[in-house]
Amino acid sequence: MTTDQTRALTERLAQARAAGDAAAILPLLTDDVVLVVPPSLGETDRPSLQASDPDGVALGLSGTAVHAFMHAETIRREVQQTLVDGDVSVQRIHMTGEFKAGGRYDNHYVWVFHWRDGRIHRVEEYPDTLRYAQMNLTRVGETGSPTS
Amino acid sequence: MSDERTRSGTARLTAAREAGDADAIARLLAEDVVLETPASLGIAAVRGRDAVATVLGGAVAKTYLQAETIVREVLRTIVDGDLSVVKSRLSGRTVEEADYDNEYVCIYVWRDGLVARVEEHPDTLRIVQSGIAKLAKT
Repeated sequence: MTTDQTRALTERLAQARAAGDAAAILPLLTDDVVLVVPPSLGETDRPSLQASDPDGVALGLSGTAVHAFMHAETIRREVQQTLVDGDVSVQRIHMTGEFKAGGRYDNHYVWVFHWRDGRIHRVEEYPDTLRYAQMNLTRVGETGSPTS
Repeated sequence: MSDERTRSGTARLTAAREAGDADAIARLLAEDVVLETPASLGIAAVRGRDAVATVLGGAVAKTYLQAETIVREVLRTIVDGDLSVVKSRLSGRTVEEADYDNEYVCIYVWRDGLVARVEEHPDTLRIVQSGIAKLAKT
């Protein structure tokens, strides 16, 4: 893929994500797409957040999963930087919102999208993982001792 | 900046970092360069060419990892205009004799052929899991 093609599709993805539209995200994913999160999140007391099916990845990228514990109308995702280089694109996103249980969510993410023939086949999510633990969204596990 | 110039600068910076050559790194930094790490770590931004070159040269890593065990591996470089992203893996043995293995995403903002801003995004929870930093609740 050319950088221009990837840039146009990355913009289309960003618009679908901003709208929380999983149905619009789905056609941008390959059948074998995977969503990969940092290893530390798989070593805590919660199940791994990794998804390896298009529906699960689309749901994750749409952001609607967090509506279970955050007020949807308070959620803001600001795209702060976008880089595109051949068949890879990167976005840095600042996300804020209010928890239903009280308190404010504020975190920064780097997303890396790997494209193939006009679709994403791999998503790498890099949140500030320690922020999750500080906000009691996960527990600190021990390295080398997966608990999920 | 053109992609080619940014790509060339990023390649030189990566090579200097792998060599732990703070002088070579400094030559690629703007005088007012700023290095920022995730807020969760509670580390103040590092400012100025010499201070940032020292950190990028591995001086901080050597305070928690045994120097002879440190391995840096560049996984991917992505360039777009005056921005570049380098994904890398840092591994080694901590001074407390634990294994350390973490991925880092570094975003470099270039200005006139020099790095003006560095944003480092490691797996921060991994740093705490490895005993290098403590968990401080917000």
